Amino acid sequence: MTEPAAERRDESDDRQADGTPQVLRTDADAASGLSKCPRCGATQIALNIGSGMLRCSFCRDEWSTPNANEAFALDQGVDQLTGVTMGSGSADIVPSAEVVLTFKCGACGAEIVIDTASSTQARCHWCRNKLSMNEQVPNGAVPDMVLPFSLPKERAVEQIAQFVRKRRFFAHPRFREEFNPENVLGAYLPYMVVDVNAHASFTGQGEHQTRRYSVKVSDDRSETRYDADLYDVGRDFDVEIHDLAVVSSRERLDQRSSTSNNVINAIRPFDLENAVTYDSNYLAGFTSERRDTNVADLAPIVDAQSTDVARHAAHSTLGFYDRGVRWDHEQLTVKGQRWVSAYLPVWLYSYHQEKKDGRSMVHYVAVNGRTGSVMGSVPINYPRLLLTSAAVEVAGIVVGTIILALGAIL
Amino acid sequence: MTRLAEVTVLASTDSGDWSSVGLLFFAAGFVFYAVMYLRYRNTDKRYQHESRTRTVTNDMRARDEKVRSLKGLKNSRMRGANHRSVKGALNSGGGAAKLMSALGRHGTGR
Ligand SMILES: [Zn+2]
Ligand SMILES: [Zn+2]
Repeated sequence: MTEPAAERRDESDDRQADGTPQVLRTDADAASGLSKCPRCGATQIALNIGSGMLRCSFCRDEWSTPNANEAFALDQGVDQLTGVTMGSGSADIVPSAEVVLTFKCGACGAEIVIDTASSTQARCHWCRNKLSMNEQVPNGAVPDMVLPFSLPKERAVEQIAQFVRKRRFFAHPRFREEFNPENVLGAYLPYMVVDVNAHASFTGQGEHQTRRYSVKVSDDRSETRYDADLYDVGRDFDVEIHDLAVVSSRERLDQRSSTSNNVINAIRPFDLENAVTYDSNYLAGFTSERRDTNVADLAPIVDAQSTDVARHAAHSTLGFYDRGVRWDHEQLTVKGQRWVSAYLPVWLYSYHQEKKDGRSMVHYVAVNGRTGSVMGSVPINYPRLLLTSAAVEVAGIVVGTIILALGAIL
Repeated sequence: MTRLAEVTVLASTDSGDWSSVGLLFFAAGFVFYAVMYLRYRNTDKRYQHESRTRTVTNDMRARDEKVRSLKGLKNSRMRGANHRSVKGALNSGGGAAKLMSALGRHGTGR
């Protein structure tokens, strides 16, 4: 099978050369430092999972930041996009930008360190006030928007326990012994959410079956033959793609079987329309992973997935070609893209497996922090699985032999 | 175990004759291994971005021109048909898996 010559005329390829993507300002009101309750001024603020709002644990006042779609008009005008638009929180990471930032505590003046690799908040050791980083320093730690957790930890624990309970028999004995779903951690993972305005053009050939019949190939054998009409096929259309999401951490992008990152991808989708403008307080009590890729790094994967979406969109017009269509030429002309960075909520149970050859691997069981959708990887007890498979094989051979013998007699 | 039986039955409905059913049982152990491996490790799971992403198509222009009739084909499906292919998947065997491991080695921001 030959791959169709994939040609892309990307009108936004000059994004590097001319270097001026339109920037959508998303941290206009953001301020770093002491993040205070608007009513009582306390800094003990955290997400109330039950309501999806921020809550002051001192005066119990609740509030939330604006819906991101509305604040930044993200659900509008995908068909009008030209060139590259990106949220200010999706800007390129400056390699020299510090990951560990130092702030002066606004209450007592002490120097406080925030390690943005895993958090955008820290507590002052002296006065116990909480400091937040909400301004978008170009280190990838503060995104344009955040989708807060709405699934409580207890629900995630149940989901993980149930998932693993169904996979105990062939699970690695050490995993079975050490498994404790209570160790699940809530993590905000970095994603790029992309809207694409493109024109798709596919050309190739398709076959429509006209007749199916049997022919005798020897005295006691017949085979099926088909007649078909061959067509030249072309599909040309405009396509708007909404909220294509790609994880934006280098480590998480590796989803081959030597990792189990693919299971985190499998618990999507997320209800991105409910994301809100960023505030570090949504992350209180959770961990976060910093984005460490840029728009240009992720563009090839977004382009490949956009072409997949367009190819799939053409399906509904190909019903006549019941034998299939072979595209020889696929072209996606990207007219415009809008990139917005987001933190999305995932409950992660991790199990670190040390292998005999010294390598190690992390197996995840992941639960969508919004929908509760679960997927995971459970390390296998290979001796047991191989022995059982061998037993099944022996039984299969016995049964198969009997069937063949019966077939010969009857 | 029920899944294994299903696989066997499904695969044999085409031909339906005794010898192919019998021969399928000879692969039982391998099928069992593969089904269990995927059930535990789920390496084949991914988000179906191609079908689950919200999409709007406009101004669809179609060209369908008959070239010729083909007679006596042996395949039930068109040879080389690729209209269902997916190239941007990141999991094992996915078209973009290599792309992303290359990013890990040569990317910026490190
Ligand atoms: Zn308060
Ligand atoms: Zn202080």
